[in-house]
Amino acid sequence: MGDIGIPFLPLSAPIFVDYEYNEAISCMSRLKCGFLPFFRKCWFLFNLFPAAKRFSGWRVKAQRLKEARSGREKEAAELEKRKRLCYDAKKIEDPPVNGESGMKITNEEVEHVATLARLKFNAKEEELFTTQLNSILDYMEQLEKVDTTNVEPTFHAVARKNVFREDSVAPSISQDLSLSNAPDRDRGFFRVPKIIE
Amino acid sequence: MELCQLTAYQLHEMLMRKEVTSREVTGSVLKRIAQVEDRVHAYITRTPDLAMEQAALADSRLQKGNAGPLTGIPLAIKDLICTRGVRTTCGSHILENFIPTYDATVIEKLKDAGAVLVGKANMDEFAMGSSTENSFFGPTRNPWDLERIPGGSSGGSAAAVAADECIASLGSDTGGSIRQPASCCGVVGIKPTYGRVSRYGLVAFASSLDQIGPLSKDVRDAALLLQAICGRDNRDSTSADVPGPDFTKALIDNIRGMVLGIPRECFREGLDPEVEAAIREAIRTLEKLGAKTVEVSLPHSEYALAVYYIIAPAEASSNLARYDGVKYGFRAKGNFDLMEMYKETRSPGFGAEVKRRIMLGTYALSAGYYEAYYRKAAQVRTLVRQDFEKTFNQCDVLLTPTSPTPAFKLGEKVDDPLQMYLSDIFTIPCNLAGLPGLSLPCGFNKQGLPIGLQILADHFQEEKLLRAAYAYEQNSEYHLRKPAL
Amino acid sequence: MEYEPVIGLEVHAQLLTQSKIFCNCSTRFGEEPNTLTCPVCTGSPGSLPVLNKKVVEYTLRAALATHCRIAPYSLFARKNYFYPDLPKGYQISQYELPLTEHGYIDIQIDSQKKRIGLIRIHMEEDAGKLLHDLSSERGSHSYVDFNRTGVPLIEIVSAPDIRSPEEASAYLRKLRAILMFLDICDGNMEEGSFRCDANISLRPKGAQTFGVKTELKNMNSFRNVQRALDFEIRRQTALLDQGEKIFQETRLWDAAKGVTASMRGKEEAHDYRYFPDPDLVPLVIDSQWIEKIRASLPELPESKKERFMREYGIPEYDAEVLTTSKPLANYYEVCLHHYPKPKIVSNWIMSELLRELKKDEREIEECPVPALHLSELLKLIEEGTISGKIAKNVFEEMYRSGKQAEEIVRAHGWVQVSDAAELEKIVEQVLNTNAKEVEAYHKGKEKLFGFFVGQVMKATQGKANPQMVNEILKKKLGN
Repeated sequence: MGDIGIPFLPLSAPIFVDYEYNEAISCMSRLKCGFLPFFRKCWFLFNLFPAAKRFSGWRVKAQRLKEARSGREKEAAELEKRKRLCYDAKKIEDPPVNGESGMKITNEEVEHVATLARLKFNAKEEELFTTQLNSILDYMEQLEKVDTTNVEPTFHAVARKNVFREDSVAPSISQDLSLSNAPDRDRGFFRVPKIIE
Repeated sequence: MELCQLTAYQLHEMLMRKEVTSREVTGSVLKRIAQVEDRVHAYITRTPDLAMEQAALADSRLQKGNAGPLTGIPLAIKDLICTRGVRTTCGSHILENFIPTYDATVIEKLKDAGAVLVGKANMDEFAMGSSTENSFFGPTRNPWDLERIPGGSSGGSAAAVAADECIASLGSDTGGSIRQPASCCGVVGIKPTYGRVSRYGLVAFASSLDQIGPLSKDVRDAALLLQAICGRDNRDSTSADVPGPDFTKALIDNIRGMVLGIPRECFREGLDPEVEAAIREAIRTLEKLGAKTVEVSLPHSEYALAVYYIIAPAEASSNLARYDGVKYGFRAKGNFDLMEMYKETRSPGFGAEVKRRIMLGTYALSAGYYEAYYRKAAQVRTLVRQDFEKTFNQCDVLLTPTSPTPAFKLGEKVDDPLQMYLSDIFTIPCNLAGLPGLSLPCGFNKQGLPIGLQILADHFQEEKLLRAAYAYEQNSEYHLRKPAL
Repeated sequence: MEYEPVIGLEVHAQLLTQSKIFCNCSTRFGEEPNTLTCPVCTGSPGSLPVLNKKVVEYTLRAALATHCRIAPYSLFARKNYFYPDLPKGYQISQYELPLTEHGYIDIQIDSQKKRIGLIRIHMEEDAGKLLHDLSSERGSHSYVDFNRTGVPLIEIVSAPDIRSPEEASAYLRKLRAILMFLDICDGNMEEGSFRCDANISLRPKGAQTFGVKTELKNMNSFRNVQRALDFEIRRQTALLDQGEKIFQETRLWDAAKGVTASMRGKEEAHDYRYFPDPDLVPLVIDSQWIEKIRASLPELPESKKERFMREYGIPEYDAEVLTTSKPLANYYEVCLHHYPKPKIVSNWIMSELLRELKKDEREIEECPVPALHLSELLKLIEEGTISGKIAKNVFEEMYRSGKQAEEIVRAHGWVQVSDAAELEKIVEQVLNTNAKEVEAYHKGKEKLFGFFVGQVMKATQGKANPQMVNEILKKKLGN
């Protein structure tokens, strides 16, 4: 409560927690406004007078704004909690490593594979992926034990062959429909960043 | 009993007898959704207006006497299946606003049958997951215990059926994604033989493993739905040229003489004792009904998980390369060159599990590793398939638990990918071999969580699955229980 | 140190099917952008490919015509890489198990026959088109048109048996002719339906090992292929002579500057991660199908040439020229059908006809003189109605106006004067008018004979029958 003095605190406590007051104060202290102590005194005195009640709507508005903000914050926190539960688990904890603990895939290889797949990771993510991929690949090691000499690989789940269609033309979809989901389009084309060849 | 709590078959009878209209049935389902959806979160996109339109059309068909078993029945569709004009997200940020320009073949068939589509069901992103926790839109919760997962990746489809938020639904199964959530949610789920149902319009995850299948409240409904969606499709080269028989003919309460194979590898360490007890009880029930059991062995099934987690991610890494921000979906905003645009689009566009699998798959196919990983896995896949061929010489169907444990808690396995992958240990082998599989409820544990029994049959032998499942169901009551939502 | 070039060529040829390889969209060229697409060829989520049977048929035709072995079991594979003109992020092609391999093409080089091996011919789909500046504005974007994605291609990979740019050119011409004879490709290099990339390395003459090779791209005509190879040979020779190493890289041919430029730095190592495409089932070709196609194969350039030589008795050179293209060979044979004098027809086509076409830069299909009309003209010459010299004028007029020979001859009154009496009168007249020259001729200036012939021709406006004029003059002059 600064220069005003502690004894006045109880009277002025509700005022001093006003959202807009706090904003104003922080703004001015950021701007290193010399006006600040004077402003505080004025604010205090201003609020003592009944005339101030005429401006109570202003305070209600401030109160409502504060509630809305905390409501949004609550929502955001809830969403974060949900997301953390499922979508983008970013907790760094070493998962149990099955099998030997030799590194099957190094950080450099992870980077290379990420580029092949057009993905990018920050350092933490890369670390996590490297660890997780290694533990998964360790688990795959057991396949080496299986004797597969003269075993034909299965690439298709059904024993079908020679599935054809006739060389006949059917109407294509319209240009508009073809482009209907395009993130960026121009004059009938899909538009992408310029490619230098 | 509310209309939304009935089965498709029961509703069909009522609709035919003009006791109710499709609009009433659909209204009941929509009301139920409004009641429970904020707790269950089974849907990504709800289509109530479209549903009522379709219900009206169905009613006029019913009036004209031009109706089939699914006419006027409200269904949920996993958001991995393309629906023209209706947002199809695959549970992902990268397709958050994608609107397909065409209907999947199964959707065309359902529309022809007069079914009503109430919404697109939540799922693990691009069908990668066993808990629906990998959805960009937040997880679905198990109607039996809202703190637990509904299974995955068709968690929304299973939960919606269990919570009566639809009468039946379609899901997709690549490594157990229909059967495992069916087991977690106490409903019936079928993965048809590979090639039985057209994949045209099913957004591809692992092309040699994916199949669309029904989830429903009982075996009869599953048979009806399977009937409606199966059949050769000229737009899918892997679609089998095998005519779909009348699956409802298999619904006879008689399995005398049927030989049930029990793979010894399934009763292993890590199997929850209550699950084991329920499965053994189910086997006893079936034996009492006149079936014979024989112990069989699937010696290569212990490698199935490793094979799956090489082949599926490898195919997925290729199938997901099309999500590059050029033609559809999310594209990063900013002044990027091409390489940056790709990376800036795909990295936030995909979730962690999808990225993990893309990395794994890319690695397994890359120069120097193709032989050791992808090709080797494909060879072991042959051995897994041959194991099944041998056992089906000795028996009609195989019985196993669907999942090693009942539904676990949300967040419990999310940091340990390998632990998560182990939930699929019983369901994966049949995808590798392309066999049909069914899961139905066979009990509840002490906490009231459903336990699923899995039945497997040889290629194109869905009738045997249905026969065994129907006989069991007629002699048990688990499918009649409803969660206390 | 003398080096010999070792060259291998990779040709991509667009097949002349009505619809694309994996969907029913049309393969028409030159339409508005993105108007010939569908969910399949634009890689829409959930779309699946279904193989066009004609593509297999055409590939088998190409295989049989080049003596390739046809694999009994063959697979499609995915070639994975990222580029905006590749909608699925992978190209469906063939890798480990292509449809055909191990064939050959024979070429004529310096009147020697040489056999160039073919390593393989396989099927694949074309990518889309990328434009970098729309309407000549220099912007910060590139533009993608997917009309061309999914157009069927065959890739023909030659063995590194080619030893000079001339051989390369001969090989390409022969290959193109074969594909056009088979009616499976229209061979249009400018429009991109017949594209060529080259792999070239140098090694000391007589050595057995291969040197480091570079890949050359962006050569859009036979001439440019030769120029690019010539340049690259000079460039590599210069480097090797200085003891420098050749860097394995891809180089783009710049036709304007006449040089190849390195793409190094803009290219990263490509790991295509090939694996069998799970959406397409294996191809099993049985011998019945192969025989059916073999039986329906049209006559190929090689056998047609030999037949022409055999049946018509024309020299090899003529036969070679006449069989460079099917329409030309057809034209010859139609003309022969109406006027069966092989050498005469062949002479006329090779000299007059091809000359006119070349001036106009037209192909034989656009020739304004149908084969039938040419045969009529030749008949007129034989009948003596017009002289050989006048015939050339008639032909020019036929070419320009499209009218028939008789009509033109009548219109101009170019009927040859073959009346002996009339000619004698004119010859007498000429000799009388040019008495001085006659004297000079008799004195020994034999060359003046031509002068008299010329004068007779002038007097008859070129219509006099040359043989008769000759005879009469000889009679009158020869004492």
